[in-house]
Amino acid sequence: MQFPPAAAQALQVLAVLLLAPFVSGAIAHVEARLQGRRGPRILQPYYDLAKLFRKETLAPEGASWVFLAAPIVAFTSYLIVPLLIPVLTDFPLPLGYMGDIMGGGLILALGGFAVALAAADTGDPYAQLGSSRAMTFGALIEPSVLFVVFTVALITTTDLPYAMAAVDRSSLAQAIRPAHLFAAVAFFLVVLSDTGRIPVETHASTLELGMIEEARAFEHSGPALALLKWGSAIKQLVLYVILADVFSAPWGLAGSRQVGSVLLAVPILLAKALGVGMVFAVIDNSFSKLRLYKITEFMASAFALSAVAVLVLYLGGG
Amino acid sequence: MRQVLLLVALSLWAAGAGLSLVWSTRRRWSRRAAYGAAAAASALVAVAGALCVSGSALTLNLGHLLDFGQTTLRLDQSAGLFLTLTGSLGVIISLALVNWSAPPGTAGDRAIAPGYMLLLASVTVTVAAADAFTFLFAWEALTVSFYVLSAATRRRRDQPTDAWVTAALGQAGGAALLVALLLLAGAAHSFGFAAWAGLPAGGLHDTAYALVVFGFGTKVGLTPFQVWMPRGYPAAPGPVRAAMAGLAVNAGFYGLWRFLAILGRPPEWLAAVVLVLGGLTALLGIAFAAVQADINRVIAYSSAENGGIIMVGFGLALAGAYVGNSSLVAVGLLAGSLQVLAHAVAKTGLFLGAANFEAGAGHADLGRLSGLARSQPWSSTSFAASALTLAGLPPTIGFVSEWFIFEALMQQFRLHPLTLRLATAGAGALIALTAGVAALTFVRLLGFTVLGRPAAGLGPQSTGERGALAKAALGAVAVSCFGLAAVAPWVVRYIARGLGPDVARSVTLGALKSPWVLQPVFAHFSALSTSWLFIVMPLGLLAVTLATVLASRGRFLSVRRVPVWRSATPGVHGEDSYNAFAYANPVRHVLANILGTQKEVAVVAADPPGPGDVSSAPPAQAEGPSQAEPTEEPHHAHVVFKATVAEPVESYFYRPAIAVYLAAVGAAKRLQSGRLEAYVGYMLLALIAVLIVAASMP
Amino acid sequence: MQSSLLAAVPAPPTSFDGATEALAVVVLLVVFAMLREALLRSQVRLYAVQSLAVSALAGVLAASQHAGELYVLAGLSLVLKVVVVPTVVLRLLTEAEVDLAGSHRFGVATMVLVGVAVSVFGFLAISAVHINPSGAAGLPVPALGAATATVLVSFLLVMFRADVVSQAVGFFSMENGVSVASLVIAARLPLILEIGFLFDLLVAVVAFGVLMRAHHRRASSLSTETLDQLRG
Repeated sequence: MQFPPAAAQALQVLAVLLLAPFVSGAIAHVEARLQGRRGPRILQPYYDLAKLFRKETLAPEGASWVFLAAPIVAFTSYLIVPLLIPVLTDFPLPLGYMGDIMGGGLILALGGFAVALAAADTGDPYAQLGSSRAMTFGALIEPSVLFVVFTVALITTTDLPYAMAAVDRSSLAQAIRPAHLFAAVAFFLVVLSDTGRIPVETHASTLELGMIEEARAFEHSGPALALLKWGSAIKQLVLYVILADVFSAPWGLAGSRQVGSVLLAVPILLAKALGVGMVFAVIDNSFSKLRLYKITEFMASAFALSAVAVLVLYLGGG
Repeated sequence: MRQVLLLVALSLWAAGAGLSLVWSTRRRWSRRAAYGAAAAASALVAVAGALCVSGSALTLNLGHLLDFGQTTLRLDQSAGLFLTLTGSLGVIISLALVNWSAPPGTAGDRAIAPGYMLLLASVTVTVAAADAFTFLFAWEALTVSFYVLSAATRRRRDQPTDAWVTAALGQAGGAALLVALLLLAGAAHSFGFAAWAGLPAGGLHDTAYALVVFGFGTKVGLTPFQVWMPRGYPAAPGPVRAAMAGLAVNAGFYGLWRFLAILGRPPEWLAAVVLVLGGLTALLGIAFAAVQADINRVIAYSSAENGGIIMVGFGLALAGAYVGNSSLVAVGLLAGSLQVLAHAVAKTGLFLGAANFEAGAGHADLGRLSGLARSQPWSSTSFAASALTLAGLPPTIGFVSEWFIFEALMQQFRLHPLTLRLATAGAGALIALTAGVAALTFVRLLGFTVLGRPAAGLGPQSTGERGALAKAALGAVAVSCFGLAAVAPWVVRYIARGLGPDVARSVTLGALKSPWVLQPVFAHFSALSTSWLFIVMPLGLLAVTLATVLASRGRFLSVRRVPVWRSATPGVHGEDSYNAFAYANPVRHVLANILGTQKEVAVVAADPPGPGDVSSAPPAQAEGPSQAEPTEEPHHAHVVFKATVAEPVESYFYRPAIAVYLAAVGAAKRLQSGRLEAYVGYMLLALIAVLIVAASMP
Repeated sequence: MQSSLLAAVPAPPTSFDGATEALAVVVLLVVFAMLREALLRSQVRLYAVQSLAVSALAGVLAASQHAGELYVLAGLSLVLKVVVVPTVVLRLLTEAEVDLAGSHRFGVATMVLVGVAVSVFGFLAISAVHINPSGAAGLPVPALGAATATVLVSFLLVMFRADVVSQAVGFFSMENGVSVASLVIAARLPLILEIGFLFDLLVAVVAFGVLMRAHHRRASSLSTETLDQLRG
């Protein structure tokens, strides 16, 4: 029995939607264990979301409707991206033609823009500070993202995430070629910065002045905050999926729309995401946060790495 | 048919200019008549443009009209593309001008309407011209109209300087074009563009090519010639800025597109230089836009940014022409044209909105505007849609154009000389950084004008917000920003026709993977469908909203208003709170290398600071914004934090150049002894030099 | 679908070529890390890592070209550059009791970006030079480009950093860059020449050791800012 294409596509979105809080919870749990604490339950994020959905909505005096619309826009744009990337299947599904890596990146950017705009709308200095910082450092990582995509174009002569994954699978030589490895590491650094992890940001901090992305959601509460939290978990999972399924481990995806193989791809996806998440948890515990304006050093390193990957490819190697 | 439409349009503009010279546009009926005529004429031009794009080329021979050989106009598809754009924007801006009057107490507002008509007419003639003299005549007329408009309302003392800088750089660009066209005419023995197509490659061809690119580059703000933009645009009055920045600048892009078709294969270095300079222009433009304190200067700097992005698209087309890959030319020009379109529409919307904000509040200081969405909903909507477009966010036309620019850059692996690959990669890194900073710039621009708590003393709604025609114009901009993206495949088809003279239509149409899906001309590279996105995104938004409302049992919609969190302290209020100046602080810090940021913190013992302190501070000077941020200290002293930025091209290019120039002038002064013998001596030397040159001629 | 996606994909390099390039690029990336490193001891350890990559590169080339003498070279450089030189310099640092380098002359991000620009130039220059491959296999141009870039960025390291240790490490890593270049161009260069290079390195270490001690005794710092005050 086969899934109809639309159902397979819907399943990709659904899998990301439902598994995202689990991955966040698992990472938080492992992190706590690594620090010698017992830590929250793995399912804690689900309870948090359920609680927040039951709370009332507060908005700062003077904020406009944009403040309430932003979480919805962000959530929606993060959910559109799983339509475009290989989550469960290794072949493009019908709406995969809606965008490529670049299009997906710009759709993710829309989510970030909406949240930053809502933060600027609040009139809360901390939220505005976070909004400004998040946009500034988000801008600095962009050149590395583009160069990573350049290496994809150089290796596969396309810009399709499915093609990059297929090339990785085609032979071991392709998977371990130096340019691919360097690009994967550069993308890893991009994911570190985009998910607000150490060394860029301490995601569990409560110190307002040290915050970057976390501070943007200061004024949101209740269902709106639930959407933002869930949204950032989804964005994190989407980035993990791109890292795993496009760059580092594109194995274990369903090769057809057979119900069995597509359903089997779900636990494999979860396992890969958890694997990536564990690496991030270990990094979180082994390094310290950079001082705010030292973050540029991190961005410059990511750029140097991706630039070297492109240069090696330009000289016909890599 | 087309020529009749153009003729009628030109006469209507002339009539409008005459009318407004006799009766000032301060009178309502005169304003309606003049700008109504301008709108009608623009509509005719738009129709003529559409006819040109769909029809075959038409050459009009006007005989010896200008006394320099044959005066010819050629209405082909390339001209048609830009005439459509000029006409449509002309209609929108003219309608906005019908409901707008210069703020009282400004001198020289009698020059606005004639200057505006001259601008429209000269852009139209520039686009239609098919010989060197008609073209240069119209181009110089455009420069004159820019001077007239930027000098029209003399409210600030530094405004004449701004107008002079605008005119001087316009003249420099015009001079480069003049030399280039004379070189080409000399080589081909004809002033007609048609005769230049077959010129052999070589030093002369390459020199003329470079001069043409830099001549048009001054108009579109290619660095280091972008310095006039943040001066000239804000100096012009209200909605007219939209005509300068959104409409007239396209004449420069038209010129580049046209001369690529005429001159063909460029030298390799020119393509590389254009790519790198385009990327630098974009980054410099947006970095300075991000830190400006004046809303009009933010928008003006964003013009330089977009000029740079479009030049990168053009640079790729040049690179494609160099390696002889017509698909690459197509993707570069298509990306550039889409960005031209997105920028033209959005820049019009930004400047029209800003004009209304300024008219309502009486100032354009980003630090003191807030919550305008409530008092000026139409302007705010158009302003916001335009800002989203220029930030390149889905699902606007700016998203489509930005996607095409990046996809075009990704074709670097098809370029063979490593120099061009590296130039493309460098431009790509710069454009990527630009896109990121642009997002920040437009969050700041929207968050501190349209959004936020309404500031006290915002003043009344501007007249430009109330009139029905102005509302229609603002609405048209907002709808275009999104609607053009929904019908992006048709926009691509239209542009593919318009690029006919540069690259065959069938090649450009490779950008359509299927009727609803776009791809970057090369098949199997990637895909994008904004049309599908227009179905999926609203459905997704609706579904998420419904699910949220249901999951929260309606609590999402019943909102309780509370004060904002300030760490349980009373916080700071009014002028001292976090504002647009503070929002730009991280950018000032991390991009200090290119912004030349200077910071200064001083404790000033003074009276308790009042709200008047900031407003009494001098407005943004030419070297950049400065703003005092008084913070109350225990002993009534306050800390003033200042940060200024300086344009690198001014510090390292123009200042030294001007110093050298002044030294040269000083040296030349010594020649002016005032004695007759000396002058006769100079004449003798000159005569001998001429004789030597004549004798050495073969 | 799969086949159409893979139709135009260029072939990847062979695994020996790939390993050579990867190691050469690692050597380059370590210099970038050195630009940033503030702890003097870590600076020395980075040098050890870089030397390890160079030794591994010699090993890979020995395996791919079946050249026995290269194994000897790999072993020698492993002993000298990974163990002996770092140990000696670390001991000198222990005596000096200085841990932290002073502030850099430029911001780290600026230094790295200048480094990227210089590397681009290095790669561009190598692509413009057409060197005939010496071995049977084609010359790995990217590895040579990375080696050139390593030498150029090492120059930046010496220029931009104002402490004796970074400058010394900069010179050492320049030598590593030259080693990589000579390994990939002419892997079968007579062993005696390669050993000569290593000997030069030892002399350099001794010279730097003397300089460091003398300077530290007088200025009680390792910063070179005051070096111009040293007189006879």
